[in-house]
Amino acid sequence: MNFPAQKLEIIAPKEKSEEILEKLQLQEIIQIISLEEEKKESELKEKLDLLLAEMKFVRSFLFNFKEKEGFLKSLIDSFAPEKKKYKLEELINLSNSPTIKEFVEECQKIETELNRISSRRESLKREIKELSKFSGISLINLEELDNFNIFIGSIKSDRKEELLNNLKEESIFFYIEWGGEEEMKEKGFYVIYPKEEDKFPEIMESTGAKREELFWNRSPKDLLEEKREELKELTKKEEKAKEKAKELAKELYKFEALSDFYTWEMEKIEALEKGIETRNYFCLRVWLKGGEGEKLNNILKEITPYFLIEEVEIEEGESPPVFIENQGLMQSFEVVTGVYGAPKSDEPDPTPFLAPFFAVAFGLALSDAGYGLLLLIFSFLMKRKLEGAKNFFNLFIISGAFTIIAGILTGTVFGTEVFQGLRIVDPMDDPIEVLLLVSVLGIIQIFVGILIGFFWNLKEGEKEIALGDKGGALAFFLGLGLFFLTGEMAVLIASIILMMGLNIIFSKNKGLISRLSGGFGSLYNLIGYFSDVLSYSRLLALGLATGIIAMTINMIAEISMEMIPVAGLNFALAGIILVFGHSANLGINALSSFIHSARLQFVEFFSKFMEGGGEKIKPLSKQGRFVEIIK
Amino acid sequence: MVTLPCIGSAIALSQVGRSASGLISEEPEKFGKALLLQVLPGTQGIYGFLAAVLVLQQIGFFGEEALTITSQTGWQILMACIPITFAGIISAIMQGKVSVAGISTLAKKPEEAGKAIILSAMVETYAVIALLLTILILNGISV
Repeated sequence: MNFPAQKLEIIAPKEKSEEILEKLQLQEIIQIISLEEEKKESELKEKLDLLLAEMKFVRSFLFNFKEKEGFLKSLIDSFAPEKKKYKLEELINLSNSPTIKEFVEECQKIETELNRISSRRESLKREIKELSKFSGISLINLEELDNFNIFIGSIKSDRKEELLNNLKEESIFFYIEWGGEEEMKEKGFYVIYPKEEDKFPEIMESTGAKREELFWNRSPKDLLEEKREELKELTKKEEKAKEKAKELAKELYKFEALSDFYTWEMEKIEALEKGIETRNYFCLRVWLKGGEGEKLNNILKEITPYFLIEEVEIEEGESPPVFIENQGLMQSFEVVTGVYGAPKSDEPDPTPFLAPFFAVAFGLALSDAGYGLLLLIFSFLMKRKLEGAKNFFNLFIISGAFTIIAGILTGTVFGTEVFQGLRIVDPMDDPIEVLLLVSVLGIIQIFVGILIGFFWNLKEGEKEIALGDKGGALAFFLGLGLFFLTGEMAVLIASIILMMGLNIIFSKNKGLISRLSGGFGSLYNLIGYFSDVLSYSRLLALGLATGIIAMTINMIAEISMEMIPVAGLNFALAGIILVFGHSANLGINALSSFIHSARLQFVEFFSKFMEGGGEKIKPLSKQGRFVEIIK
Repeated sequence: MVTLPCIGSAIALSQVGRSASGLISEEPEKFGKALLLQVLPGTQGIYGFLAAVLVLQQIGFFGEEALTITSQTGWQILMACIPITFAGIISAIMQGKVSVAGISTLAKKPEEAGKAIILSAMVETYAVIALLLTILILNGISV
């Protein structure tokens, strides 16, 4: 059912605001509408902002030190994150616990330490790289002598010979000591030459050698060792800090919970800000979730006798947010509707209508009894593990059951033909028969879609669309049905004429010519219906794809068993091929089946009676990202 | 010839994969949904494989002995493969592009990822129809 929201204003005493909002947030029945754009600052808000920032820091810092989850777990988590369950009191106690503050400080300390280590390490690495150019030089005494120049320089390795040759050519007197290892691109040196050799700097420059402004009081070798030792120490320290962070990360869940808790507190404050207030009273404008009027009244009555609830008129062009709710098994099909989005406030909820068609389409698209059974068991097990995704897995339990039925009727179990007892058609041998079957399914679904549109338009008072457009189409489909049963072409032609007639008579247009053109234009719709029906042929193709690939997997397993003569080994290999092959095939085809069955609903079915694009109500709530409140 | 859709799928998957890793480097928790968007254009490759298996079956490759087929039937079988070949490769690449766009939807509004998946699957319709055509034509060829 589709419940459009009601627009209301709630006025109540200011001193009760916290209590009222807390209750409303727990009950999740109102969405706040902004009356006041301006944001206010308050001490409480600042405090919460700070707390939220701290929680965010702890979360993002400790996230990197969390124990790694398995591949499957993280895959599932990205679809249906597991939420820890808390009682509200537990969260309040947690937020008051003094250890939280200490914990945050501890995290900050470790982070600073890690940052310090990593920046020190970078500079150490640079220094080591620089020093290793000079690693071979044993003697460092840079004190200037009266008659000699002494300095440290560096040169590209491939120009070392050039420098030496040039110096020799000029017959300059010098002493040089080389550093660095053989394969290094740059080499450091230590040189002494008499001051009167004024050509020396020139030659150096011509070979690209440069003087380095480095001063050491010990040999580079010792220095290098020292730095390397420090680096080792740093790594040890880092390990220790990381160990500590890992230990702290075990408590990460507490901070995730608090994150949610403070976010809710913040939302309450912001809700009040969006309303207006006098000295003693506050006023909130809200969307009330459809059908919850009495609940709201009771909540307020319990807290204070001095309150007022007033209905506000909906402005033109404004569409109230909707709330969709179905009972029992239908609930699981809300997953399909959810992918498309909510209907508008004046449109029907398509969920109960699409449910049977979706399940049948899914069954036909997968159409293998073995896969259906696996899907059913898998979904059943997953549902028990992940309660948050109950609807999702229920949908696959139902779809799995329909797949089993389709598989039995087409006689395929894991791509084999072991069970033929109830086979009515073999899609491999008679694809045309299956094509007809899925087309009939298409015709029925489109007919139902138009029928829903017909009644809905009547209910909404749109008589012309109901009788002309939808009535005409219904007449055509009835004629088509009769034509299939009797084979009389005349029935079909009569129904088409009736369709055009209805379109001409019940038209919004006044002029004769525009009415007539509307009537003939309805013929164009027939092409649309034809392509809609053809679209259902995908079910045949998908069914065949599953079956043939399953068959191929069996065949490969069989061949590999024959090829390996060692008994035992061949069974093992065939087993591996079967398990992996069939699971992959099931995975991919279940996904395809879901997507294509859903598409048939969205494109071929919904277009007959709804537009969609409604907004789902987002009530003020205690729905956390990480935690779930047990009421 | 039926490997062309596989090539198309590979191109599309690599495109989506590249943009998906960009997203995952920022938000690793979106891996599952990104993976889903990535595998979508992979179906065409499977359809190509499927067509190949059907052809092999038709010419008795898996039987006791291979059937001898005339060049006329050979041409017929080749023609039967044309729909899935070309629709496969092109739709795979195009679907890959829609999936890449879907990754940015996933980045900005993860709750709407389902819609991005449907939009991408829309392109696949034509590969499905082409596959159906190939299967129907192959079915009509008597060897």
